[in-house]
Amino acid sequence: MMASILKMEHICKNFAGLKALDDVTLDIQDDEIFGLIGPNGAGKTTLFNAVSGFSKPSSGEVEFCGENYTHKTTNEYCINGLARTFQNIRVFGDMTVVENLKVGMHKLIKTNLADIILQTRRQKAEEEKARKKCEEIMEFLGIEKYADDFAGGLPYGTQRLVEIGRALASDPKLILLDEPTAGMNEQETMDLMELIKRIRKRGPAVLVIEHNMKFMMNLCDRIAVLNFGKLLMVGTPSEVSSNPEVIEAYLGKEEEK
Amino acid sequence: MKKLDKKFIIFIVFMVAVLLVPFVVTNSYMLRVLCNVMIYSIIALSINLIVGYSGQLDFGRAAFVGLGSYCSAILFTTLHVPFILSFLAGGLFSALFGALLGMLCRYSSFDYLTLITIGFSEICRKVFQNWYAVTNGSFGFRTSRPEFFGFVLDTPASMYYFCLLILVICYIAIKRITKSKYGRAYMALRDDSIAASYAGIDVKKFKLNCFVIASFFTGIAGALMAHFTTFISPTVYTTDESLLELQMAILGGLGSLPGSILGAGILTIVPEVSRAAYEYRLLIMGVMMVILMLFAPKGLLGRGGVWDKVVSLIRKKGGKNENK
Repeated sequence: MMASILKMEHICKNFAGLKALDDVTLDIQDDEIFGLIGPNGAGKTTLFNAVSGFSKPSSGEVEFCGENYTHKTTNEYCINGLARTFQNIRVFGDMTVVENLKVGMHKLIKTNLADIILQTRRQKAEEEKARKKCEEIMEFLGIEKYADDFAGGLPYGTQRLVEIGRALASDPKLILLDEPTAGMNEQETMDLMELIKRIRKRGPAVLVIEHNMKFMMNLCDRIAVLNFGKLLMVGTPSEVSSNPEVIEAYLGKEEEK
Repeated sequence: MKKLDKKFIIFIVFMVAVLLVPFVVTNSYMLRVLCNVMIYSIIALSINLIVGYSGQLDFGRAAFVGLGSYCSAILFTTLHVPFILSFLAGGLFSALFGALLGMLCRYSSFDYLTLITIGFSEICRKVFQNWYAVTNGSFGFRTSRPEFFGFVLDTPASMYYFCLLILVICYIAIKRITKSKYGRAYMALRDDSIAASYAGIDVKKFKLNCFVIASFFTGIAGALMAHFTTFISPTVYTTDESLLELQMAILGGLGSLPGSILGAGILTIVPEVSRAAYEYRLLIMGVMMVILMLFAPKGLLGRGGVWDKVVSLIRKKGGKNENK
């Protein structure tokens, strides 16, 4: 039951003369872990931003869940099932972990102001539902003991999990992970890899940017390689790691072992 | 569980004490001061919603107090609208202007909200002062005490209970909002608006709706103030007043609702008690704010504020250090 979830066609992005993205065409399926690699400055994060409504592409089309989303806002992408984590962690520091997760559920809680002020049965039921779901996600991620701690004061790795938890709480169809292993040690990286595999089993497709090649080779179903804004190739990890062009651009040293 | 019960008992004791105040304090001057505290508490709570929860800086709250006051007073006294309707209309009128102002900000940027609110409060003051036919200009507008079906709240004690009732309703409503998806959305966009937008929150919409909701409560407080003092004049709704109201919220601790009430209490009662040094009250308050901002920028009851520091100090000294 493979279907395309995020389709990018001829995406270009210019920053005052600099071509950050040059004619990128990609098609991400709804049940795969798709990797995006490339040297620093290759335009990976720019591509993330351009296909999630944060900054509009200069030209090209984005199709999300079969609809044209080129000119939609981040908000509309998210309501339709996109969630994301950031390269430099963005948790809500002055809120507790459970509140962070509940913010992720924002679009799923269907109450209005009257419900809230009168504390109607619906409001109570929705809050209860949210609490249960957040508990389930915290257990899934193994952060339940931090539930009532303020997210800003947690260790780096845990904050990353909180961010992933917030993304999961919104019941996404596609999760974008921007360098999830940045600043993590070997063991944490391996744990995270297992986690991402488990996340895929929950439903959402995963699009991940990463530098750690070992991590990517073990994790991804397909990998796309970007270099200077251009798409070098798309293929399975073994195809990518044996392509001479890719090796030249990126993997050269890794291959010598 | 035991802790919750303890909290509940403290709450009950506190409420009973508050309800018994008019029987103990028969001095009508004291009751008036307490009414003022409650009215300013509502204003400080609404400021807390804007500044503490959604993280926008508003320097023109007094204008919204004024809009609520004038609207309610004019409807009640000049147009003879029933009290409850004119009272609520005060809040709604203020919310309407909050919406208009917020919409303007939406098209420029909320970063300029601070400047826009200062300008707006000056405009309002000038309108109150110069629209003689409606507001009676700088002579001030005289209105009367609240009236329910022929029953007038003219004693200090009845006014005390009325203010208390409104304060409790506003407090509960604001508390519920902050504990709901709305409150979480406000805090999220305060902490990180980019991450908030990726969580499906329409950042501009929620900044606007926070501003409108808070303006409603400010307007209600304004209406209450008009019918409590029974006299309103443009000199009450100045930028100085806005700053004082902002100070109440900051002193109490942004993000803490009981803090707002405490802040309003301190900044209303201290100048009254120190009437002897009345000429120096602005100086004293200025010094107080500077000291507070230097040593406890989180206010008295805010997270990491004075109260939290004292509690953690006592825990350390008592040797039962619970967090390891």
